[in-house]
This record gives sequence, C-alpha cells and structure tokens, in this order.
Amino acid sequence: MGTWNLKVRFFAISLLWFPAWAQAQQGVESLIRMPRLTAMGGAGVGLADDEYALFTNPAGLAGLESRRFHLAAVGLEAPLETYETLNSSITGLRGFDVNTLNSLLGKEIYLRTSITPMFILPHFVLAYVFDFQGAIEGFNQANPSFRIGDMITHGVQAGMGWSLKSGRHPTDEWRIGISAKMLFRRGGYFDIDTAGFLAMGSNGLGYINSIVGGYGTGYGADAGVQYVNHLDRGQELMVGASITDIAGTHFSDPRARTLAMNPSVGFGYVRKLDLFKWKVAADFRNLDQSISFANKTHIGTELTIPLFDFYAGLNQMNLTYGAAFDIWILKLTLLSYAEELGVQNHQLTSRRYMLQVDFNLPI
Amino acid sequence: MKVAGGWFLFSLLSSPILSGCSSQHTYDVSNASDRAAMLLDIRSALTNGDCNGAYALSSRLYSSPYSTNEIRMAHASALGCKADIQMFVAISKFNNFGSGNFIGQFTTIFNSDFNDQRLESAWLALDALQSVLNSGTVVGAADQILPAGYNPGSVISSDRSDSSNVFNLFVSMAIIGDSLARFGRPDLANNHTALVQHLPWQTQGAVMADTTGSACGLAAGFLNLFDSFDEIAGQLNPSAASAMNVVISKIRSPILDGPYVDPITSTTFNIGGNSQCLTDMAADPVTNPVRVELCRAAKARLRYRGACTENKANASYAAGIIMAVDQLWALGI
Repeated sequence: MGTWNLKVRFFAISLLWFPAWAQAQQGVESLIRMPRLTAMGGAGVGLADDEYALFTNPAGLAGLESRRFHLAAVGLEAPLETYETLNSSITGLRGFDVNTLNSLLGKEIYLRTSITPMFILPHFVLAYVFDFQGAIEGFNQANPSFRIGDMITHGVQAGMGWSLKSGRHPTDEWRIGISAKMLFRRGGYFDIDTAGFLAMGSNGLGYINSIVGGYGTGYGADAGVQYVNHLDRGQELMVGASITDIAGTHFSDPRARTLAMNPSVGFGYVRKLDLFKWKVAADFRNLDQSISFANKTHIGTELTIPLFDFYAGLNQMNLTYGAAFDIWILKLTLLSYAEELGVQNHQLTSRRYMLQVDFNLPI
Repeated sequence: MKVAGGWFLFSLLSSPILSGCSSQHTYDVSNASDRAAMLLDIRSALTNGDCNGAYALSSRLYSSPYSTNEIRMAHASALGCKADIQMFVAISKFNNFGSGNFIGQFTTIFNSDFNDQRLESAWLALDALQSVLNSGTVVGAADQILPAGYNPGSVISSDRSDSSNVFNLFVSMAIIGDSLARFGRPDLANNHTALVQHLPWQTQGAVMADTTGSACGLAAGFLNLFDSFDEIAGQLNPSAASAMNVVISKIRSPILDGPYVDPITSTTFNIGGNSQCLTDMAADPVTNPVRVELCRAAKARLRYRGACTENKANASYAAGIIMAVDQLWALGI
C-alpha cells in the first residue's frame, strides 16, 4: 500500500469522528480496571492485542494465539488522599463530633479492588469478574451533601474474535468480535443531600441499605471491529471501533447502577525490534456522552523489554504511568493514573494508584 | 512507510493536545454542559469555603431562564455560605439552647453587624429556598412569591422539597440571629442572654416605614423557622427533634398568637402577631368585621419577607411578632 493511500484512509476515518467530537455528561465506568490499559492512558480499543480485549474491543481476541489461565488477577486501587484521610479520620473518630464530619468535607475516600481469573484460548476468553468499589465524599460546608459509593459486581463474561484475513491487499486483516456477559450487581454511587443525611442520622445503616438495594441480574453484550495492516515484518497499524454494553446493561434491581453503553474508536501502532517492542495507542471513548472532547481522549504508549514493561499515557489529558515486572507465571503491575470526575477538563481530577498481582499458567 | 508512521503519530498526538490546551472555562449558561460544569465548580467552591466564587457562578445560573431546583439549591447554598452558615458547626452549637434564654441564644449561633452582608445574604437564601418546589406543585395566586421571575416560590412549606426545608431551618435561624444581633444588640458580657437595646418596629406604622425590609425579614424568619421544623421533625433523630421541640414549643405560641402570661409573676403581656393584628384591625371600622380572616391571611403570607408592604394586616402581624420577641428576650425566655 502506498504512503499516500494510507494517509487518505486515516484522514477519512478521522473525518468520521467529527460528528462525535461535536457532542458535548459524565464519563462511563469500565466493568473492571485493566492495569495495562489504565497505565496507557485508558487507550486500547484500536490496539486491543491482549486478553483484556474482552472488555474493550472483542475483535482483538482474534489475534490471541496462546493458551493460558490467569489464576487470579488481583487489583487494588485508591487515591493517596484516601490513606491520608483515613489516617486523620481515625484520629478524629476518637473525639468524634460534628466537627469531625466538617473536616471530612472535600476529602476523597475511594477504594476499588478486582479479582479476574481468565481462561485464554486462541481467539476466545472466558473471565470471571469480581469488582468492589467503595467511596465517600463530602461537599459544601454551608449545606453539606455526600456522595456514597457502595457497589459489588460479579459474574462471567466470554468473548470470541474472528479474523476475516485479507481483502484486496495481502497485508490487510479485518477482525470482528463479540462478547456476552451475565453479571450480578448490588449498589452504585448515590448522592445524599441534607434531607437524606438527616434520614441517615436517624435510621443509620437501614437508610444506606434502602438506597443501595440488593443484587440485580444483568445481561449485556459487546461488539467490535478491528482493522490491522501489517506494514512490514516489524510494524503494524490498527484501527478499531467497539460498542461495549450495547443499549446499556441494566440490572433487575433498578438501584444497581447501569453499565452505560460506550461507543469508542481507536488507533494502534506496533513497532517490533529485536529485544524491544514499542506500542502506541489512542482512543476516543464515550462518544455518545456530553463531556468535553478532552475528557473523551485517551493516549498511551508501552515499551516492552525482557522482564519489564513500561507504560505512559494521557487519560483525559491527565498523565498516567506505570511499570510491570513479568516473569513467566507472575506479573506485578504498579501504576498511577488520574481520572477526571468533572465535566470540563482538569475540573475535578482524582489521582489514584493501583497495584495488580497476576498469576498465570500456560495450559 | 516511515513517512506514514510519522504522519500518523503526529495526527494522533496533536489534536487532543491542542484540544486540551483550549479547554474553556468561560461558561455559557445556555449550554447544558457548561451549566453542569458550573454546578460542579460551585460545589467545589463551597467545599473550600470560597463563598464569593460560588455566588458569582450561582447568581448567573439563578438569574437565567435555565434555572432549576438544583440551581436554586446551589444558589441558596452560596448565599448561605456568605451568611456564614456552616451546618455542622451550627449543629454543634445547638446545645447552647440547653441553658434556656432561647431568644438570645440565636445570636450565639449566628450574628451580624452593619459592616457585613450576612443578613442580606440570608434573606436572599430564603428567597431561593422558597422557590425549590416539589414537582407538579401548583401555587395559588395568594401564596406565590416573586411570580414574575425565573424562580417563583410558595409561602406553603409543604410545597417545597425536603432539602429546601432542612436548609431553611438554618437560614431562618441565621436571619433571626443576625437581625437580633444587629438591632437588639445582645449583651455580650452575659452570654447574649440580655438585650441591650429594644428592637425597633413594634408598631404597624414602624414596620411599614422600614424601607430596609429588616422588620418583615425578622418576622418571616420566625415563621419559616417554625414551618421548617414542622416539616423535618419526623426526619430528625429523636433526641435532636426533642431538643429542638423544647425551644420551638416554648416560643411559638407567644410569638405567633399571644398574649403571654409570665408563669412567675402572672403578668399578662399583650404581645404576639395575631394579638397585635386583631387589635390594629379592630381599630379600623373597615377592617374590624373581617379582622379574623385578615389576620389569618397575614400569618400565612408573612412567610414571604416582602409581605409587610402588601397590606396593613401583614405589617401589624409582623409588629406583634417583633414585640413578642423583644419582650421574651427581655424576660430571659
């Protein structure tokens, strides 16, 4: 394929994005936090070259050739402020009064942990998902309000990808993929105003349980497409598009937070050298949401050398970075990312830290 | 192929970065996304104690045709912040009421002088809260507050949301404490329990001549305090509700109805809104035959702090309330 032809293709695809860019609401949650993708700024819809493609773009599963079993990918994440706040809160709780509550206003307490065992076969992944999120945030000294997060999700998701191989050019490869999920979810994130706060004061946990509700069952589906151009033996270009949670994954208990539909498009580039592998990815996600363009933008890069992976990226224009140590059956990933909780870019940015331990075996 | 890779990387990285650099913070209130961002900025400012910053944003939204209940509550919060209301701090001072001298104790929780804008901010917060109506509420013409603007309100507390009524309890206390501190000058040396200067506006004429709205604001403060407590008492934990109820039940009847008989000296004080209103209306042969209805209507209408200029009955009722407050404070109640 000629260079000019390639330029025209990318330009045409870029143009297709503009209507989506023109839309101007809050971001959409991911079912699980994927460490590599998170460290790479949240970009992976176009690249989609590992087992986590199951959750971002199932078309990428068509590129999987290995057979492995992830015994338990255990992830834990929190903002640094959570540790500092909890530490001071424990001191404050010894002399608890309403001033303690006042001191908690403006502090973010957030904790998320995931356990994701996965069976990986060529073109196919089956995963069990467990995810817990807990959060407390207080706002507004004059007329306080709280945002409380209490959400547990578990269930299974399976996906398959197919390669349609070449079309007109031998270097082209089109891939499609679908995945289906059955999830059980309890709770979500809830805004509690002063009237709710009073009810919480008089009814305690009974009030919390009434707003969080019980487990609801939800069924959902994802679909994706990926175009891979094997430029030469050392280079690949990818373009992908996916829709996760098509039409939204709703739960039988309406208090359980809906997984909103997330249409995304992305680019990927892979450069392979003898001992190194360099990858670049860029996504535009949540295309149907009324959030700023910057908040839809995810860019990342990965440098792989023997035993180590290094990551960097921009998640909604906030720096992400991390590193992984990978030795056969054990992979440790430590990373930092920032999530934009506001509508505008850099309006309410929360920096968080995450550790994942992944034991996996070839099968 | 190298050229293609370079072009690709440049286009990949440049547009989002440029977009990020141009992220706007000059908000357009007609844009829904900007309004959502403004509300988040207001919440952050209020969390950080930046009252003026919050007010600057909330007033733009509140005075626009896009005003909603969420915006009205945010505006009331910004004004509450300017009125120096911090709900948790105020709650921590509620035990001040345990020592009795209820009227004077309002000034230990909230106070104001002529050099600040706390009282004025609390008045405006009350206006905003009275416009946070439950969905589907139809307000009769006689009960409407400022119907011409984007934030029409209701004098009936059950027309309004629970959140509005909860914050209204504190805003009303701020109006009362600020007004008494400015015009009654509490005796600081004796824990605010005695008043140094009698409250002005204890006659219908004085209330009607008050162009600042302070007299009517004080009367409206008490009526809204009683209303708010009635609306939220069921949601308070029992001990807090009981403590508040001691205060409210002690002062409500003498302030609104009168007269008051001192249980120690058995002296009868002809004070109270209804008592004064009936007396004033009886003196006029035109209003005398319908004085009971006029005074009942005045009591309902006075929740609106601008009601004293609407008719003489409203002004008389307000004067009776102020007279009662002044007398009860002097008696150490």
